[in-house]
Amino acid sequence: MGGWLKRNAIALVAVVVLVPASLFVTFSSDWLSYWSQRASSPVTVERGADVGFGGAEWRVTEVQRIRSTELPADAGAPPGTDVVVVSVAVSPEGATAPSCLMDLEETRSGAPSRTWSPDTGTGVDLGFDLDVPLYCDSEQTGDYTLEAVFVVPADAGDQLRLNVEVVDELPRYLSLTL
Amino acid sequence: MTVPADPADAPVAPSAPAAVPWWRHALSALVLVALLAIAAVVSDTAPRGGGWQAAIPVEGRVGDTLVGRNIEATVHGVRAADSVQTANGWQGATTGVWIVVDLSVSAVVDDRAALLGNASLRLGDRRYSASDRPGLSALAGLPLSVGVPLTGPLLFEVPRADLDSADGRGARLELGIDSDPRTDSLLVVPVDLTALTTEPSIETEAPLLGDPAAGAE
Repeated sequence: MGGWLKRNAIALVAVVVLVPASLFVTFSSDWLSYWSQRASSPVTVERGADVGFGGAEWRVTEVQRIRSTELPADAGAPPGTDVVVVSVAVSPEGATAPSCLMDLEETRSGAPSRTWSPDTGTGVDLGFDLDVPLYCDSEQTGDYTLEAVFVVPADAGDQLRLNVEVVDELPRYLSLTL
Repeated sequence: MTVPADPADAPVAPSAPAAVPWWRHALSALVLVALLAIAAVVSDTAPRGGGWQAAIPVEGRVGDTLVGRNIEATVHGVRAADSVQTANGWQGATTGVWIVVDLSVSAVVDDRAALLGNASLRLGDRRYSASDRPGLSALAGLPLSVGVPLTGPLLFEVPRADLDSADGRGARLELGIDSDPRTDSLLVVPVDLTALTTEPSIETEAPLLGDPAAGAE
């Protein structure tokens, strides 16, 4: 057996090298492209800290969690839910503020994390003035504070993060601890 | 002076090649048989045709809470009616029959692009999509929230003959996030249409987001 291995050593080494190399060449392009086009590399920031990202300074200034039963009936909060309001101070570094996508992420041990987009379908009315931004506003030319509103089930835990995606920064995204 | 010949230079008589031990033949045969067996298992168990991209079914009965990758649903009941009126005033008359499915559905992990995009009733080889004619007063195509159930009706218009056919007896309700069910969870609930009693008319409630029981606590 030892003699056979020695006689075929070059061919065996070639197989060991070329098979993984072929797989890498075949799939690496799609694989790398897949991960580079989505938010897959978090830039973690502790609560209250300022961070420069995607052309602006970001800071979470306040987080409120309100049970639906604590809101007036005409607020329209679905029963069995909590409304999470995250106030984010945005200071554009350039002439205008960046556009972004936000979501609220709940991390859970032993289970996949859950994410919620800012409230769009339920239409919860918290009585904000019409000029209060609820999303990233790329038309802002100076510092502003946005109020991101999320509707989550009442059983959602406290391990919450606010994720901010700026297209030009992908796959990096901002992950702010709440 | 005569120099003695070097023994190494002496001609050597050709010898017979060394015989291969019998156990090496046996080992080769065993390896061959093992490889053929593995190939047969792989060939037999590999998905065929559309199986490579087939939906991943999660089956349950009426009343069960079924959980897929990003969809969770409970079918509360199934009814049949000659006509239907939904909460927004839409009236559905038909020469067939309306199958009304009362349902709670939510997303599980992510609400981006999470719609009830696939709600269909499969009768044998036929597939009936839930009607979108009632608009927002039925659940078909509505956005789903993560962990917050959306409760309301689904309406299917099917031939009346299916209330008394083998296809109707083996009907299957299928629910999924995307209208393309491939490579994702597909919730499947068998429904026996032949066991339903046709009501003259059914009025459905508007879809309700949230858990009223939790709100009453």
